[in-house]
Amino acid sequence: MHDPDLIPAGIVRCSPDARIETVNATMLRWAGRESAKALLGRPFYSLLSPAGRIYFETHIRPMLQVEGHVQEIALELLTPGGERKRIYLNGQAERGDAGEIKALHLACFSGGHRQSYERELLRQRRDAEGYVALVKSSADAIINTDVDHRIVGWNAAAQALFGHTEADVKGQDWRDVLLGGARDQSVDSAALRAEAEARHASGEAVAVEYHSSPIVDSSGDTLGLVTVVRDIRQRRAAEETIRALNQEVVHRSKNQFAVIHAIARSTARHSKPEDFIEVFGNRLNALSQNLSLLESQSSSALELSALIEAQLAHLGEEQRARISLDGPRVTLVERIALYLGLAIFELSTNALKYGALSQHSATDSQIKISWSYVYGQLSLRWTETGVSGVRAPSRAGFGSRLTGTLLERSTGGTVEVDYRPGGLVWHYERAMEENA
Amino acid sequence: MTTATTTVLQRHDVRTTGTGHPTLVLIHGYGCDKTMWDSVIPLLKDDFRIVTYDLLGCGASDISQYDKVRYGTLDGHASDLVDVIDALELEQPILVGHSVSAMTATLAANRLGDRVGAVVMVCPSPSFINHDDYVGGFETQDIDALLETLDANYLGWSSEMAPAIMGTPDKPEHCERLTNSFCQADPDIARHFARVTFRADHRADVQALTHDALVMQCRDDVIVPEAVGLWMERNMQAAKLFTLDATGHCPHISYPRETSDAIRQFAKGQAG
Repeated sequence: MHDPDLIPAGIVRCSPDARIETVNATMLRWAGRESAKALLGRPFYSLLSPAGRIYFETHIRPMLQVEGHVQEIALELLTPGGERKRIYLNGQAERGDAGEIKALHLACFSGGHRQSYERELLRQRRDAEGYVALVKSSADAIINTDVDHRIVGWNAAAQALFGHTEADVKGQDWRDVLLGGARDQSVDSAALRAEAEARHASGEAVAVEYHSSPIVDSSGDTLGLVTVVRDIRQRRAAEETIRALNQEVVHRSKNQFAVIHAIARSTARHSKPEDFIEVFGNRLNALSQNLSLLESQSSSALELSALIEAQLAHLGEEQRARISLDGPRVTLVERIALYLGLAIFELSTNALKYGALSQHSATDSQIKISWSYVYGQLSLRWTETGVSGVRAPSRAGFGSRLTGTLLERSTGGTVEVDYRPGGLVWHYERAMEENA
Repeated sequence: MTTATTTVLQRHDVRTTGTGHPTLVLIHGYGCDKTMWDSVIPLLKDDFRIVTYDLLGCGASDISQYDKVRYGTLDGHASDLVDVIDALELEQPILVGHSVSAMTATLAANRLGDRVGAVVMVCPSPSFINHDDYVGGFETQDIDALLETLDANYLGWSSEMAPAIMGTPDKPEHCERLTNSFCQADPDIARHFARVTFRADHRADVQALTHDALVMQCRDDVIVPEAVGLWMERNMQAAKLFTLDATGHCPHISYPRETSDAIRQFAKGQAG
């Protein structure tokens, strides 16, 4: 009979509950134990690493008991000194006549190199799976082609963007599928980036940017191309908007110059030369207030109460306190806001000079600015009270044009002015379709 | 039977046997399937009605429905247990959970209240990982090493085993092959379930359990140290600790007689 201690494998015989009964010298050496005696009666799992113990008790032992055998189980022995040795375990249950288990026979084979190699394989497989997941879940369409541009792989984003499944397009030239045959590149060219009109399966045009790079292996051979295609329809739309806005800026600048020119001419006609700079400056300032407000709003629409507040910002605290604002939230389109703003400013400077904010007024004089927006009709009212000696101005200056005819013409609204005994009442009305 | 009921029963390959009262629902633990109960069922089936099933992702369950979010915690498995109890219209069943499934039974009992009679926990552990004063037996790195061990052991067979484990419950010839591949599972699912099992911490849930509970422990259970049973008896509201004259983590396989005796004694006490 062969001497079990000379067999180059760890041999263990266990009781039915997996306690060590006999153990050969090889097993003792691998487990880092001195004497077999100390191991007798100990559970077999006590030779294993903590992870191996869990695996043995949850998988191996039940399998031995039910199936009767296990094969090629990768485990780690752990010596008392903390050294680990990788092994493969085979096991066989020995059964009695009634089917009861009489003993468990275990054989351990040294498996360090093979397990290292297998673990390396596993790591590489995980890496590869990682890359596959990366491509699959990319939001950009990724197309993998061979050196002849024939599609090898096509991810979910490509399917979503172009409407073809991977199976539909496999083997076809990607340029035929997407670009209708625009062939302006060779496999040997360096990374290439371009924009193009691609076709969705439905025939719809899709503006795309694509970027192809050769897939080069470690020996420098080109294996194919990887092309990343990005939907640039949103970017294109944004560029359109920018172009339109540019045109609008030019258009508005021209309008502004016309307004400034009119203000200058009219101010010159109606004021004394020594007052010109101050009056003209104030009016330019009002215009500029409007512009600041326009800029601070994200869209080209403006909120009425914010517009009025901005035009009253030049007043002192005491004067501002006499003015009340009352009305719902109304959004104005920019053109109306611009002229209405100028009118409000003009009304406030008139009130300073002649009306409820002037020295002619009583201490309890007030200005009430109220508005309503009903059935698409904006009605804005400027009401001064507590003013004595109210009279209509003797001539219609540019100021009154700003609050009257210019406003009506530019915005398509109507203005009524009433110089009542207690103070001015100014009323503007306009049908508005664009309220938000 | 309604379609929903049929669906649940097929999804988990639910099997019913035995006559008697009350009904025992046997829930297998991590690493195997319902066949783990095969040795104790003959010893109990004259006294109880017995229900067994496979946790989703294990045995003959419909693994195509394994959803890593739903089964990312034991709550998903507890919902399945509630579904099985509802589908069979069980009245006050005694839930018998092995190892991690003792926690699944606890979660289901907490949810169903007095619709569950009692809970039997076979080698349970509310947390396998040590926390401060609590001794679970393992450190986080041991669990990471376990996942590596699983990987190493699934390396070889995954592709050739795939046809066998993809079996559907409505094809009996597949079930036949499944019983031949005892304890085998889809590697990806096994790895996921291992992670869920060994990283879970259900100490608060067992403390909240108001049902009578039998905590069964074995000597030399490398998965569950003795300290865990003592902790449970001390911290649970109505738990009795019983140490079986058995060793290891799977007494229902190694010591079916002792295990079934302990279950019977407790369950009959509950029924009376």
